[in-house]
Amino acid sequence: MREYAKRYAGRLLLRDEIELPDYQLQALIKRGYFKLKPALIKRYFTHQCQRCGNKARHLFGVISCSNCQTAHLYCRKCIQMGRVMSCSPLYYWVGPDPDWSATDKRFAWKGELTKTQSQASDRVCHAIANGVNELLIHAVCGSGKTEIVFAGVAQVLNMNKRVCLATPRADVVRELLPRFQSAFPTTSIVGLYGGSGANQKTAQLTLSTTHQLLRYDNAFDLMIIDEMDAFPYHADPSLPYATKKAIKPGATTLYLTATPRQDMINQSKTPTVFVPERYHQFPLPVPKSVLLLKCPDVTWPKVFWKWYEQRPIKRQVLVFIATINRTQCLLPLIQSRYPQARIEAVHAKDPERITKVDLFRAKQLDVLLTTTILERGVTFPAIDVVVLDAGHPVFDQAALVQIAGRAGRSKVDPTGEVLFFHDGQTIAIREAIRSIKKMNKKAKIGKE
Amino acid sequence: MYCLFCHQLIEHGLSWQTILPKLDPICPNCAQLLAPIHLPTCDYCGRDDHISCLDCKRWRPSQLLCYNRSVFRYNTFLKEVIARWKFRGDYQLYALFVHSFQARFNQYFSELPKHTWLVPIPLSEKRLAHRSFNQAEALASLLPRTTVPLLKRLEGEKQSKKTRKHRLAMRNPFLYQGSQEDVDFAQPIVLIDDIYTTGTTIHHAAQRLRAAGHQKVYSFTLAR
Ligand SMILES: [Zn+2]
Ligand SMILES: [Zn+2]
Ligand SMILES: [Zn+2]
Ligand SMILES: [Zn+2]
Repeated sequence: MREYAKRYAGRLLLRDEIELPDYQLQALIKRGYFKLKPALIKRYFTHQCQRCGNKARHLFGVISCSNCQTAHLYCRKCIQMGRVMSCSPLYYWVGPDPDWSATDKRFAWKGELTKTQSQASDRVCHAIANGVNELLIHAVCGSGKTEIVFAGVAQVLNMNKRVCLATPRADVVRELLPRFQSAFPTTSIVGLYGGSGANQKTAQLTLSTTHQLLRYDNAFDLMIIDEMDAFPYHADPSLPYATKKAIKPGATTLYLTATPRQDMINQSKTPTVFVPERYHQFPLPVPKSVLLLKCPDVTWPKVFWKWYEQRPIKRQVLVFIATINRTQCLLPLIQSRYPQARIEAVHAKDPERITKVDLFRAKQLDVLLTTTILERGVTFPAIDVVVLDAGHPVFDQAALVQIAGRAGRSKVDPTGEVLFFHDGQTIAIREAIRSIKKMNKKAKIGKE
Repeated sequence: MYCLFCHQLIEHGLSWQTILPKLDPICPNCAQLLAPIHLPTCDYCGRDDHISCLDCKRWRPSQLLCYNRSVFRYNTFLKEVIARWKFRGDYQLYALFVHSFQARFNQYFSELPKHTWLVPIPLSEKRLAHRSFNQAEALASLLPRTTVPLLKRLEGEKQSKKTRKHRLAMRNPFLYQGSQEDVDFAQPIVLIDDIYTTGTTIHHAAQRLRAAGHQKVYSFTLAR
């Protein structure tokens, strides 16, 4: 029964996901350990999927179902996680609570927090201890967000409670998993993302894409939402729904972001912690705005060659380009100009994307062209960053701040260059530069 | 209206199209990824890509099938659509093909009599229970002909468990289940399925029908 509690508590599952034969499941239902609830319920003029919260009429389909011999609704919104249909209920565990206390919860992180970091870390622990529902952590890129929440996570794990860190992107789960595993070597930890192969596994500490959270209900005492401003979290209503559903009543939710959207700051009365300083205590590189007469879309501006060849320090260069199409036009041009240099390009649909990013991180590439997919989450120690046609609408303020935040992450070389090439400064460019300067100012004041 | 595949809002604008009663629920971006077969280059299997048909060389002499016709090429996009439809079970996606499926049927099988029977390729019971629908039946239900379940499919063994020899001579998984009294053997039959790839499935089914005494068997699939 202990194992069942660990496997099923806090989850909302389809029959197929329970992986028990019928007679066993029936016995558990009879003993009152599992309960059932309807998967789709009627809501005024529409329906609502109880797993993903979908209410949009065009995202329900009608299936002529051979199991129940009727035609009825199913949810098309969350179908990639298995089909939710009105003739099959969802199952949830109401048996004994899982016991995670078996092993001692060693917190093995040996690093040291800066003064700014430890102030923020204390605020987190305080919020958890006092049952504060929500806390926004506005931390600049490279401030060490993960280390800031470690102490709070340890605190909750020690109380035999469950913790979840949710992020919109699978890359981030993959990157954070080993870091959490070495900080909490005796805690059960699972990383959930599409294609991880572990999506029916459970643990006391869960790192998950927001999508995979749809299978959870009333599970976590501490929820950490990373990059809450990032697409698709704020564009897709089912993701906030999923994170709300996954927490227990009285849980604490931490929102981590480097670029809170304006409406988030204006509307919410959420208490906010600022972390304006990077972990290495050097200021953020301020982007240089380079005005061109015309920003060519499929050729390189001459000033780029000039800059590339005359830089005093030859760092690796990450070049952000607005569209996949343009990366494909620009790649051969730069490769033929610098035949000895190792140059590649990546985009969201590139099957070799992970390999190329690893190569770049291992300094096996000199230049990497990319679309906005590498704008956040991934870190490279010491690089220069260039944005071509920074006035293009894909580069909004948050994207530009995140992109600029890729530079100067190394303690040894904390001052990478950031260049925005454009043919007319947009509001996004102006505001991005202004907000970076503002954070640097805040960090300076904090030190005095 | 929203595109059934990518969920984008479809802006048709105010044109003559808006007053048409029915429009395919697919956006122009997705629609251009479908490759309709207009003029088959192989009169037997109905493909149109001018690749010489090794499979057909094998099947033609068996005289089991009059011919096969298909609506679209089985390209990367259609592969993705069919996978989502069948394996994810997104039933509603059939609506993407309604018009083309009906129109091609009328074009290719116009000379067959009105009382022609449709026989959808069945699924095994286990698979049907898991999927909750049979994609071939869903396709057959779009056509204005009577569907008759003349075949039954046995539970298949796992591909990996089969020996090589076994795999080559793949056992015919179908059983005939028509009854002598209510079957007219002169009536033409059109087998319906989602994909015609090597032709093995269709010919296995046709073989059972011909052995039972049916004289004319055709097949019609969504993809080739
Ligand atoms: Zn749903
Ligand atoms: Zn049903
Ligand atoms: Zn579409
Ligand atoms: Zn052929």
